Amino acid sequence: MLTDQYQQKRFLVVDDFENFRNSLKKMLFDLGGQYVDTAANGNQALKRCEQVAYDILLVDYNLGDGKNGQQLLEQLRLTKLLKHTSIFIMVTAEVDKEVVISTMEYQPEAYLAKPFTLGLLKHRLDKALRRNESLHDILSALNEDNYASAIAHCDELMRNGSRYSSWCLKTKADLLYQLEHLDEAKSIYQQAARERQPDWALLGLGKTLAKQKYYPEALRTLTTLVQNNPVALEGYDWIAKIHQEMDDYVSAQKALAKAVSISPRSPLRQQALAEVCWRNNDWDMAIEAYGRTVDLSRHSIHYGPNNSLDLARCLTSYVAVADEENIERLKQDSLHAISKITKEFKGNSEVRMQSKLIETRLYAAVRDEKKTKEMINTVEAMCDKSDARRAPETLLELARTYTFIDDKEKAEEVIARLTEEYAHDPLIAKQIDTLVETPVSQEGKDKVAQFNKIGIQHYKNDEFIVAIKKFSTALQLYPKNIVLNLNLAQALLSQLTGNTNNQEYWDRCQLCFMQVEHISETHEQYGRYIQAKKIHDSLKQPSLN
Amino acid sequence: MTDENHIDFSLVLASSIHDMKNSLSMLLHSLDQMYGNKKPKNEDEANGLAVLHYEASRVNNDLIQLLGLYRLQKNQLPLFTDEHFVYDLLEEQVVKNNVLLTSRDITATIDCDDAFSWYFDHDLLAGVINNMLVNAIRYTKNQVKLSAAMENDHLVIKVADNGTGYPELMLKDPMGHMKGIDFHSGSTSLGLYFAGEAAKLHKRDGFHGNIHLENGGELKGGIFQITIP
Repeated sequence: MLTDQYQQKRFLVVDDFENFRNSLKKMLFDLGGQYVDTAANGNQALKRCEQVAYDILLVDYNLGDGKNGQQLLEQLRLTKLLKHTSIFIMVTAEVDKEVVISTMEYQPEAYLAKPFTLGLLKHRLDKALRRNESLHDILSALNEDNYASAIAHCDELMRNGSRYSSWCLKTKADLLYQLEHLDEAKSIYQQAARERQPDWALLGLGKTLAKQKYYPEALRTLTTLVQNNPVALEGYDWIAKIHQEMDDYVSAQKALAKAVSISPRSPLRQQALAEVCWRNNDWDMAIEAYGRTVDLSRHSIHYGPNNSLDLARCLTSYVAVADEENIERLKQDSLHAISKITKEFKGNSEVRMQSKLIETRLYAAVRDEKKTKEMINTVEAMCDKSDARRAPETLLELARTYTFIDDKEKAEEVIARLTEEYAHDPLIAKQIDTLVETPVSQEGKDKVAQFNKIGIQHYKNDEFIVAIKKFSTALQLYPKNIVLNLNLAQALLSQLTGNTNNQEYWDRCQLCFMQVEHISETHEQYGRYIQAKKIHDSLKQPSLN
Repeated sequence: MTDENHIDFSLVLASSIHDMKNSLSMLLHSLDQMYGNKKPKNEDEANGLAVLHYEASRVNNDLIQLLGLYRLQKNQLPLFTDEHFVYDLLEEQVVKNNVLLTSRDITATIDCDDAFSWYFDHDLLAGVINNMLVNAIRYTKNQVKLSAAMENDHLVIKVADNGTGYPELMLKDPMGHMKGIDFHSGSTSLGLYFAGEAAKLHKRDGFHGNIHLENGGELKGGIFQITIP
């Protein structure tokens, strides 16, 4: 018997049923355990873990109200309260497919399905302990984030023909990937994928190829992965990321929607889906996904005001473009979302300002000028009262709102302040790009240049429709960019010259001019603008049938 | 859109099974608590305890199998293929049936390389092997043997016993019994059907898994064999 190995171990049992807690505790005593703590819910468990570094955690998936076992595991991993050398065992009575799939995303060391006997518990614990003892040097190195040492220990175990060699190979490749030794990682993945396509090799290979910007190859690899194993969720995530890199948001949405239909419980994936739906103007999907993000993150480590703010922003933007019949309902939904934020995060003044700004835009969208004015005055008063350094998110919200209510001067002022203070932050810069004529982020600059190049190429080949598509996609990202607007206008005009009877193209051309008409005579694009406008005016407006 | 009059059977099934499994686990736990560390007073009590454990685990297996079969029919059984140690899989099934093995005085042996690993759906295969082991325990004289090895680049697992072997009809067509419902053959043919379907779900390079029955071998009894590509 190996029972004395349990004497030194610190156990934590987490279950909302006292009966189960006690009987599991008794089982552990029967196995020779001496140090056994219990917790009745996720928050209690977290507190215990902050005080004691447990060796073995036995956690039920279902913990009543609050966090579930999966969310507890996720939080313990992300906050590093759970060491790589510790063992997390998920206990479950669930046979629900959704639950099983969702627990796979933050893999526990073992599962234990209720009901189980003392013998089975001991078997699982013995196996997990044996594994962790064999891998001890690697896991300890991982505890200290010492990847180089972890890799060296992986090599050592593989040289000695360890039982866990194949785990070591996977771990080594994943660590090389993290260290950005991409070629080395890739060669391991490639070889493993050739021998027999395990999921980890295909996923790793796909990720590595994506990072090296070999997008078509990466897509092929990841598509093979999800064909082999339709529940390989990370595969869909990466397929979506690559499509986004290639500015194909429709395909990105498709991939994420598929993953969400298989496993709807991940707030991060719902959020990714919501963002891409918004970009595709698939409003109803976007709002549903943002709503789910808010609900699912409630008890998780991802809880915070941003999810709720995104939902309110999305609703407000929808109001601005919605059909007459839906406006009232959407306005009420927006107001409801905003008032929930105000209540839930009332101590946070930045969040309060952001939600007030979203509300301002809502009133502007429904053309309630009186309320719009009142709201913006309130916000400005709040701004003046405290000269504290504003969060960039608040400044962005301010810039968006001034732009939306057409107060150009103030918008420019805020954008100038943002650019000066935050242009070095790629995430903020990306947001600023959507509000200005010329991108401030390097990524934005490169993208505009690239789209222009491709669009112009098609234009020169007289492929006007393709050119129109390219310029339009780019304008979705950078709606105010002068050159893009003029290029699109020119492509539209060329198409219209051949076939004047296209109302849609005509309207879009006018929209382009609206974005450009404010430029001064000294602007380098001014001549082009005037010339294009002349052509436009010389064409007859399509007759309305 | 679902008709209001039609209940979602899979949902009812899943939630009832969840409930039943919870009850079962409470039942087993209270049983353990009642006995605590006390040894059974006499042989009768020991046998009674063994029967209780045996029947409870059979109910549990049946529930899992039932849901599995229903999902198979609906093509909803997702496969969670991962790399697992075959020895651990086999040992776990023996551990699960320890009470039964001891009470019936049956010796179980495992013949498998400790470091041998393979790609398969752990829960699905565990269900199959456990079923076949329980079956073997029922029909054997006093020995069962679980063995696994790689044959022609496939994983082959065998569950052998020293009983009288499978009847001729079953040897010819292990899954055939399911074509007509035969309640007399009971859980054996249902188990074989499930095993065959579970094997078939595993595929690689155009090969599908399969099952095979024969008599003889080292123990001269029945041999159940499952092949996973």
